[in-house]
Amino acid sequence: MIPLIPPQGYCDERTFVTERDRIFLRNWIFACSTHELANHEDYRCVDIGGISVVLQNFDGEIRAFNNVCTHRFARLQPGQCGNREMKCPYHGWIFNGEGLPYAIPRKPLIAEITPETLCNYRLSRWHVRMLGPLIFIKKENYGEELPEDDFEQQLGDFAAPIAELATACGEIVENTEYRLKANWKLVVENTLEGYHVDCVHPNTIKKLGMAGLTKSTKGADSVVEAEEEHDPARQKGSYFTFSGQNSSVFSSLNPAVSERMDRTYKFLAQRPRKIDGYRHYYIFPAFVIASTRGESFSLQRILPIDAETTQLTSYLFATNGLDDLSKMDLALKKQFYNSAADFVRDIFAEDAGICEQVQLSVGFAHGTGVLSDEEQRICSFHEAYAAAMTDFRPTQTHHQPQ
Amino acid sequence: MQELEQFVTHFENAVEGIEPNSLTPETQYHKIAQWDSLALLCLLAMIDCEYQVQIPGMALKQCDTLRDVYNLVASRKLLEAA
Repeated sequence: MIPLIPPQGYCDERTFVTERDRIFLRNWIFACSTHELANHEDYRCVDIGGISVVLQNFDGEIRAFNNVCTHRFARLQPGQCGNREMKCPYHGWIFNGEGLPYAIPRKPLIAEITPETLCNYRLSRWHVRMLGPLIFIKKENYGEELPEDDFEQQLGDFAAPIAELATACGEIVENTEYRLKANWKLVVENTLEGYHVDCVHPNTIKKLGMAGLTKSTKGADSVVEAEEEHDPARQKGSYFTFSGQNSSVFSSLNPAVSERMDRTYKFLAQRPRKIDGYRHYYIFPAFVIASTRGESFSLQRILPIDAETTQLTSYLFATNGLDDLSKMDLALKKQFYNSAADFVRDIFAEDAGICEQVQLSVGFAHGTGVLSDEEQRICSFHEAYAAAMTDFRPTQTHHQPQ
Repeated sequence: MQELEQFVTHFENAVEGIEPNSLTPETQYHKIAQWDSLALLCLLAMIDCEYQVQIPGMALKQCDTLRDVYNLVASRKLLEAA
C-alpha cells in the first residue's frame, strides 16, 4: 500500500495551519474527564493547534469556550487547570456559563456595551458532549446547525462499543502529559500499527504475546492467523475493523495468561465490562481508547502544538464496579494498577523516542514510503486525512452576534 | 521466630500454586517454579496488607531468601514507626 501523506506533510508549518482549520476545528475532540471538573468553577485548559480552550464547571454544567477575553484578548484562565471564577486577570471582566460578561468594572465608561449589544461580547463557544466520564468538545461555528447525532456520527459503528468502555471507566489511575518533538500524524500512526513492536517494545508489549499479522482484511468477522504458529508466545486471532474515518484492532491474549490473571485477581471478576483480549479504537483525528480484558482503560488525546510538536495526554482509568473489597484485595488492586501505570509509561517512553527519531529524518526523506498489510489502519487514517483536508468549507471564525 | 514462620505462611498463601508448609525461611523465593511478575505483585500486595508496609519491587533485588525479605519488611516497618 502506498501512503497518501508525503514526508513533507510531517514538517510543513502551512500544512499544520490547514490541519487545524480543516480537521481540529471541525471534529469532536476528547478534552478531559469529568473527574477533573467535579466542582463548581473547576477548569481545565486544552490547547488545540495553538487555540487555548477552557472547559469549566458552572454549578454542575460543563461549558467550553475559547480561552480569550472579548475585551482586550487576554487569556481568561491563566493556568492549565484549577478552581477559579472565569475572570479576566487583565481588567477583571467576569463571564458566566453562557459566555456572557456579567460583571464589567466601570461599565458605564464603555458606551458600546448595552443590554442589546452585550451578546457581541460573548465568548466563542464549543459544543460539549459527555460519554461516561469522558468530555468531548467541538468548535461551535456561527450559523451552523449541528445534527442531534453529530457526535455519534463521528464515532460511527464504534459508538456503541466505545460507550461501553467509557461507561466502565472508574477512577483515574494516572493522567500524564507528554510533549513530543514529533508531528501529530507520526504519533497517531505509531498507535495504529503493531509492526514496530518487535523492535521498539521487545521487553514490554512483545512479552504479552499478542499476534502480528500475515495479512489483514476489512470486516469484523475475519480472523487472521498469527505469523509464527509454532511460537508459543504468539497467539491467533488479531483483526482490524473499519468504520468511516475510524479503525480498531482486536488481539486475543494467551489463554493461560488470562486464566492466571483471573485466579490471581479474583476481585476483578466483578468488573462490569469483560472484554475478551485487547481492543484498541482510534477515532479520527485525535482520540484513542484501549482496554485489556476490561480491567483498565487507556485513553490518549493527540493534539498538534505546531508542525513538529505534539501534546499527547494519557489517561489510565481503573474499571468501576469494584466494591466492598477485602484488605488483601485492596492491596492487590493497588499493585495491579500501579503495575499497569508503569507498563503504560514504559511503552509511551519507547514510542515517544522512536517518533522523535522519525521526526528528525522525515524532513529529508524522499519517495512515498510504503505500508505493509499490518499497517492497514495507517492507510485508513491517510484516507480520512486526505478527505478532511480537501473537503474544505469556510467557517466563520470571528465572533458574530448570537 | 514465630513472626518469621508467619511471614513464610503468608507468602505461601499469597502466591498461587504453592503447597502449604512447603517453604522455609531459607527458600530462595525467586527460584521457585511459581515465581514470576504476577507472583511479585502478589507478594508486594501481601506485604502491604499484612504488614502495612509498601516496598517497591526493585528493593527486593537485594533479597535472596524469604528471611531476607522478612528482614527488609521488618526494617521498613521500624523506619516508618520512628
